[in-house]
Amino acid sequence: CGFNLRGVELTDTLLPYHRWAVEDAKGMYNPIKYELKRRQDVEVVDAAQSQAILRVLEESTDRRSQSLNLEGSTTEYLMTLNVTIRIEQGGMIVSEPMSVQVRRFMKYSDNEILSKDDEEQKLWQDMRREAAAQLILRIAMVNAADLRVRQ
Amino acid sequence: LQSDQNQPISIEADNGVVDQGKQVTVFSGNVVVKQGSIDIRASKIEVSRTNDSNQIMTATGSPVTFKQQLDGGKGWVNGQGQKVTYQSASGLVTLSGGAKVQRGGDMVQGNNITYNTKTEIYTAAGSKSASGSDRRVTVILQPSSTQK
Amino acid sequence: ESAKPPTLSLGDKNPHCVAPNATMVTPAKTSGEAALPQDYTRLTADLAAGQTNNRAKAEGDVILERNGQVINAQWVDVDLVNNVARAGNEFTLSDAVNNSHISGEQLVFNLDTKQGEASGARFETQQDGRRLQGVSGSMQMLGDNRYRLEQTKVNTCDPGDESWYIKADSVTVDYNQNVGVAKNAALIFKGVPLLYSPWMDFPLHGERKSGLLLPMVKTGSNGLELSTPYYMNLGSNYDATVTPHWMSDRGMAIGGEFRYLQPEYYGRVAGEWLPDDRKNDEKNRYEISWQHEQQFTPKLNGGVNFNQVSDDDYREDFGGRSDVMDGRHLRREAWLDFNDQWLGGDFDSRLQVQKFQTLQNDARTIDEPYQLMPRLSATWSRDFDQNVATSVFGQFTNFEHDKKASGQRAVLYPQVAWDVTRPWGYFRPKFGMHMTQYALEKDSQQIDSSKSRTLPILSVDTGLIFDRPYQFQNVDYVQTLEPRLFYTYIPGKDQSHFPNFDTSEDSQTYDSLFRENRFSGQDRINAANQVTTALMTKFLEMNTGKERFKAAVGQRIYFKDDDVDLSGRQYQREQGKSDVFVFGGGQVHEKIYAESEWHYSQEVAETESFSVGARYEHAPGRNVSARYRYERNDEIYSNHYGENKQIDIGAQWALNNNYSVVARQYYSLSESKPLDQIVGVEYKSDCGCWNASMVAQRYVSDLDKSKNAIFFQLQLRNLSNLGNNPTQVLHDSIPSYQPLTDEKANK
Repeated sequence: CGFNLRGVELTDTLLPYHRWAVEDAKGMYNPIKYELKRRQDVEVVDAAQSQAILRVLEESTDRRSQSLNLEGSTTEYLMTLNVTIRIEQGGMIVSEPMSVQVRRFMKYSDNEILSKDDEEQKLWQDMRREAAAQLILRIAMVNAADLRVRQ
Repeated sequence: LQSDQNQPISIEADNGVVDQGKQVTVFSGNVVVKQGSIDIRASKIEVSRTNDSNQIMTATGSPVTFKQQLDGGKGWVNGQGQKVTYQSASGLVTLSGGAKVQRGGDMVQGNNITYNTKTEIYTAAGSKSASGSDRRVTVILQPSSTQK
Repeated sequence: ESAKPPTLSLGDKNPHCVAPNATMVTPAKTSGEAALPQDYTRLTADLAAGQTNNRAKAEGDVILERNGQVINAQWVDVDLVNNVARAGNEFTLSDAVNNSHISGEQLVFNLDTKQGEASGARFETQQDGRRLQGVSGSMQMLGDNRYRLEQTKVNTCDPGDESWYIKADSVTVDYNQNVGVAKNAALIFKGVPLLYSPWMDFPLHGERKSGLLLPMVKTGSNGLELSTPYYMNLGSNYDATVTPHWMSDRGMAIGGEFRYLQPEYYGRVAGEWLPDDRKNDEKNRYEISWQHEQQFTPKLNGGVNFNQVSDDDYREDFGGRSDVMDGRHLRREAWLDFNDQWLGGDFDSRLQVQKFQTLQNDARTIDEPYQLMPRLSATWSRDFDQNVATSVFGQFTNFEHDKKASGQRAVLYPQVAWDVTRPWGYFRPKFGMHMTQYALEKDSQQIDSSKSRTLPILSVDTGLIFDRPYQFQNVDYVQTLEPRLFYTYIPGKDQSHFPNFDTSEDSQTYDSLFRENRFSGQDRINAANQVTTALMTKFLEMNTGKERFKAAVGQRIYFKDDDVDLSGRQYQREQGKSDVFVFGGGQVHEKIYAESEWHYSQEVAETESFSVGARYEHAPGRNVSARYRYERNDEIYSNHYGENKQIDIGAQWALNNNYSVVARQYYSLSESKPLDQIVGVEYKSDCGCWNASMVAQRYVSDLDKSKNAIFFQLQLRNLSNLGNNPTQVLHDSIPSYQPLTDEKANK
């Protein structure tokens, strides 16, 4: 049915640069670093030796009550993470801002507040990893699109 | 310069005509008048003397140019216009027709300008009928003259 | 002489508001000549006269140009010695540097210091995209982008729009301090004076919280409520708001908020105090909260989050819906974070003290959470070469409780993970040893006071990624197919004698299939010898990589049926039965975003939970969102479980460019009871200079108790943004809600 292993043909997952620096990343630093390092021959270095800088323009979180019980207290939270990045090279902006939104629902009960704090931290971590994965894949696919156009 | 008043006047011209009766002398053809630091160039200049020994000079040219050095090293005044008259008694210069007077960085431009060399007071007016830069008056004041 | 009252009116241009870039004051025209060097002055007129270095006078349609400033007038007289220009009978002064225009009768203006005075003046400026316009008997230009208008009317509307204005003895505007101060000021709305204040200040451009705060009117369960906030700008780093809050049923309360902002620390203290509550004649009811964050050194930062109320019913009596939703535990914690590089890896640690104030309820006793007195947790992580990463998690907590037995718990959880990733797949084994040691207070049930538990945790996450081109409505996509296996092995261990300080079961979702331990907190670790099999497909836009749609199905297969439940007892799971999760979501249509999740339990052979939600964005300000949720066995209310079906519908619909309605219905189908209902209407004035909203809300505040509230609110463009205003309630309850005054929205 037309499927074949990725990287063989369609979505060439080569990143445009090998030595990356990650700037202004606060909570997104580790997830982006790990996702970059999963690619072959990609290193995360500091700005001086980098060929390109991945700058996090926005990392905003929102947590809102999504469902209620008969006492009016929250039984489900919706957590939303918005991350926007941009690629710079030699001080010049070389990519459009790329933004991603990741959402998770978390069931909640007031008398499990301590464990829900822990679960919430785990969920935020999962969401940051997924946001990083989506963003790095997008850089690769935009790069592939540019290469196709240039051919 | 104040000292210009009592300097000898020298006038050069292609030709000059003296009319004793009307006490008028007319010079024509790239006329150059010098008196001390004053230097006037025109195509035709008429010098007449009134009975109270006031000398009136009317110059026409395209344009007439007028230059005089200022006391105290303040630079030069120079002006131009289609027609320039100078009355030695009052020290009043009137320029008309594309008239322009420059004094250091300052500049006045208009259809006709009067400039009193003694009091350094000037007036300028545009004329609705004229065209181009003569319709209005433009005055440019340089900072040194506006700073105390 | 005392300036005569302003005969000028803001609105004498055509009353209907005009195009955005129209101006009240027609800007001064220039001579069109080439720009002059710095500090040179050019006068263009019909007549001129003057004396060099002393004075220059010009008459007849005069244009004076100097350093980006242009004056048009009938006559201009420049005193060259003091560099002061007088202009008269009718003048216009435009300053390109700060984009301001002033017109009036007489002007005296120092060309160097930009100071001066104008009579019968109209003033208008637009800085940072924000307009300010005013008319005044007399006006002083104080230089350096500062102005003072006397006997004036000022507003932020478009030219000709006089729907509201501030009428004041004086308004001083300082664009460097970003503040305008009005003295003896009255706010006139449609000719009706709404508010008088001897002193009122307001921001000139955005970031600062606004000064002029409008009275907030609310009626509802607390009777009629009126709060009139006064904002005080105490310098560039501090501000305070004092809010007298009058309630018809309860009497007069005083609220306040103080905010401070310094380079290394910032925070906020807020509270409200009701000395004498007439309704149930209790004394001194209050709420207080303090949030503080501080960066001590580049590696050390800390903070405080303290909340307290005077009595258990405070929140229910005074709080709004969001207070009810926040639950009955008020957080009080302080923490210190230390992050550093250590042994070649990242070291992040937190020392934390936390104690909740639990608001008891006369209907049922509410279990108080354990207090962390203190908790020290730290994580050290280091990755070696391309694909080996190690991390050690350590935590020590001293749990205390007023009623239950207290104790200490230490956790040490080193892990090593391999990560082999290729474009077409990945293989990620992870192995860790979870070690826990308890030291418990002696009490009757415990046999011995020290307990420990050491369990190996092994997991392998592996998968392949296939893709193919896919076309849908002539947009090129890449469709991926991603089979994934997640194996977990954890030996079973009886933990029934272990206390439960901070543990409960995680929400069961598709993502929970890929976690080793289904408990959060550290007191319980489930047994596991199971593998999750999952298949995911994604639709990514070919050129941008944007994820348009994602769907997946996952199931856990158990090789062994023993497990540990929340109480710590080991039990046997029914043979071969497991849970199936299916979810899907994304941009299903240009204007519709939808998502759904289904959890089927083979054990009970029924749907465990199912939810489907969609958001339809017809146009900005026109959107509808709906979500249906089913839970087979949910906590309907405290300690009561059963089937739960709920539907939540929210809509915001702009009827025309003035009126828009908002509505929300959160309805429990299983209990056939509304839990939260909102209906509101918002009016946006033609020129968008003000808008008013009225929102009615009915929400459940406790079991079989509900409260209602009606908010009235007036918002003035760029001037007042209230703390808790209806738009906050709407934002919280209608997912797709876009505030009318959202700066971005109406840009």
